[in-house]
Amino acid sequence: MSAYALNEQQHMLAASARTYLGRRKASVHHNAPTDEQVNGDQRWAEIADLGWLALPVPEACDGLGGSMADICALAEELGAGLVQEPYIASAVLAGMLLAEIAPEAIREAWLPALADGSQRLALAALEPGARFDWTEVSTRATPDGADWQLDGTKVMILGGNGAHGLVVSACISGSSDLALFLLPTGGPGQRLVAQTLFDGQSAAELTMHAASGAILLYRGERSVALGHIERAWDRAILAHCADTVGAMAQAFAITREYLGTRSQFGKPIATNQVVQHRLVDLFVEIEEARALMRLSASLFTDTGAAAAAEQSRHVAATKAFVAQVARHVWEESVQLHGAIGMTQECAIGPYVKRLALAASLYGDATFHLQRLASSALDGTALTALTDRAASAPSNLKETISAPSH
Amino acid sequence: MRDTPELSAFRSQIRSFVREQLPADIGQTVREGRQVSRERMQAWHTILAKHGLLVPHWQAQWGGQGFSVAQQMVFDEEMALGDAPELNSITFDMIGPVLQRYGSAQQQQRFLPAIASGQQWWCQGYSEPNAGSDLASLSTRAERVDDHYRVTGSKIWTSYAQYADWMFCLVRTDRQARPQQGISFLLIDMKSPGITVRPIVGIHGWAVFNEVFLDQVEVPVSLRIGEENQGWTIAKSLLEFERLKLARIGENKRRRARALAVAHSRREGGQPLADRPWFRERFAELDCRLMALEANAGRFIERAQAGEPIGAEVSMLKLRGSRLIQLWEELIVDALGPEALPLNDAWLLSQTGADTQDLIAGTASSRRFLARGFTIAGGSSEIQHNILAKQVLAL
Repeated sequence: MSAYALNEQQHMLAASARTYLGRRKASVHHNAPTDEQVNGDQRWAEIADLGWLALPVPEACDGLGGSMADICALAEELGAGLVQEPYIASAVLAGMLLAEIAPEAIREAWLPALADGSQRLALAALEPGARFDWTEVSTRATPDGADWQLDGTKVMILGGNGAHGLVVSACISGSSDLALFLLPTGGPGQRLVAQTLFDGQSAAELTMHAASGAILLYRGERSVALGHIERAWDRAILAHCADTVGAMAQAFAITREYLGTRSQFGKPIATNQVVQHRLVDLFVEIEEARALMRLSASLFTDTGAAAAAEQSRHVAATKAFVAQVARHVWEESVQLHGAIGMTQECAIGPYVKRLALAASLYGDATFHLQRLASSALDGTALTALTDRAASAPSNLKETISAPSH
Repeated sequence: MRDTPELSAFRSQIRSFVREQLPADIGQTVREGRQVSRERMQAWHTILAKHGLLVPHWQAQWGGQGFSVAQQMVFDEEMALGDAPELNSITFDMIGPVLQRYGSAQQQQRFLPAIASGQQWWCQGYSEPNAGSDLASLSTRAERVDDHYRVTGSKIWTSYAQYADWMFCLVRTDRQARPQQGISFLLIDMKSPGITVRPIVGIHGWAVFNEVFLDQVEVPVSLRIGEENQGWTIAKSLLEFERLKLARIGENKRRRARALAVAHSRREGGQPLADRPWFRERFAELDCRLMALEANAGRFIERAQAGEPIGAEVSMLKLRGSRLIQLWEELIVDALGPEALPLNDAWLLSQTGADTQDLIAGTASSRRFLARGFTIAGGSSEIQHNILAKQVLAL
């Protein structure tokens, strides 16, 4: 099975997404969609009808049980089509985490509702002043009879605005355990403030003062709980990489098209070698980014601790790479367009903003380079890159120890 | 690309083979980053040939095993990681396949068994002092005299000409035709009267290049490949596999392993270098580029495996793979700091009595300078950009 080419089902999924998004874009023109369009129920119901929301949900809970490769095939179209609904944040990040860790009763209650679009979730895991580090958790959960009281602040909750429930990470008072709660929105003790990000996508900040009504989804040793959270992020980061690859490819196509038609000094700009070489650089980087993203997605069919470590390493590398390419693509897209690229009305504009956001959203390049460095330079994962024939002893180890002899 | 179970078993086999069969002194020389002598290379060729692994990608009738593209990539990677020296691609990947594809039955019988046994070395007479990237402007001329050509001119950047028994050479046989059309492809015995080889010492201190002067060298017409004036077509028909190899993934991984070795054996600021933030970020930056390169190469391997043409797009592998090697070499030099600065010529050239230096530090600077040529040789990065711009993006 190919790691790089879409299979027939994925082609169909992508094609139907393209058709739907093309139709939708025609109705919006260049204006930013309204808040109602982004956060309202109408569009969410439309994408539920298309089966997108059921895609990440296990088949046992009325879902389609799609693979990461399926999700990424769809996500490329979301980026190309400038989708602003929090599909990845809700269905992939929060939804798949709930499916992985929640007790049976909660899974059965929530997952079919996520799949049919009647309920929406978001993950509240980042805290103020800690960049993208989801391991910084100072939110506290204190038992209160059969209920829990939550205290703390969560930021950059993608898709939090309009969500019916938030998956919240918290430390358990008087214990070293870490837990994940499902906090229905609108309850006492919580304040949810909506934010609009600079490309029009939405997020929220949550302040909890003795917030009540939270349902315990999972409680465990800190490292184990963080492992679940990391896997949830890894899936969403990868889907977001696919989204970004789709947006980059579209930005490139628009830029190339423009340079082929815009004339200066009596000839199209694209006939200048200096411009051609810069377009080639973007093209090559985007192709590499897509290949790495699809390879990473193909690894998610494996299970077990070693496979998870390998998936994390690949996701970190993919996001670090994609974030850098996204920045290069948006900056060059503006530069190569010239002054028109600086205007709101230019077709490249929404892609410029989406890519500028994508370079930071879900962790920027430096954040993920540090994750990758840990995997390559700290201990056990040392030989993972080259030593894929698990049964054979590694020659690389000999190479590494040689200089000290 | 991910290994299938079959490919993974194959990888283990090759890994064991290199570990068991590569002579220790050759592995050591390669690990130190020094040049392997012709005599020791010859010994390694003999071992490979005995196991059918010198030309495994050739057709079976000429001693090959018909390795698939994926197998060949794994083979190259494991050879590089196991410290085996890089094989002379001019001999095994270029003239061998050209003979199989375009050679006459007589030429095939004469040369292919000798090459497959590992005993015959070739060099490539393409570039000239005034024809580098613009190869078609070459001016070495061959005049037909009865059943011979008389060849006069000079070739430059001819790697390993000092070792070679034969040279395959592009010469101008028609000066009136358009530049690409008056060129023929000749096989020239390096022992012919009229040939002088002048080694050129590179900025890295090694004499890997040569200038080859041809003064009225007589070449039998029977040693022309293809028709007269058809040499350009043959020269351009580098096999697709050869172009895939230009990603040089194994060679990149070899350098990654060296960077790791330095990081774990040096200290700064009271910490192992591997813990220093600057090193970690730069290492990870190159590591993710290597992973992207490998993933991208996998895409082309998959196409080649499926029997689909891989097309001009494959130029991007050469473009990125050659640059990445330079970045690894720079990281190694920077990580070594002052250790990379001294020069010990005698040791570099494997002369007897030379003091040994630290294995990696002793060659770091030379290797860095050597790697500078990777974005120039085999079609410069600027040429690769042009190919992608014209043939892929249609700009």
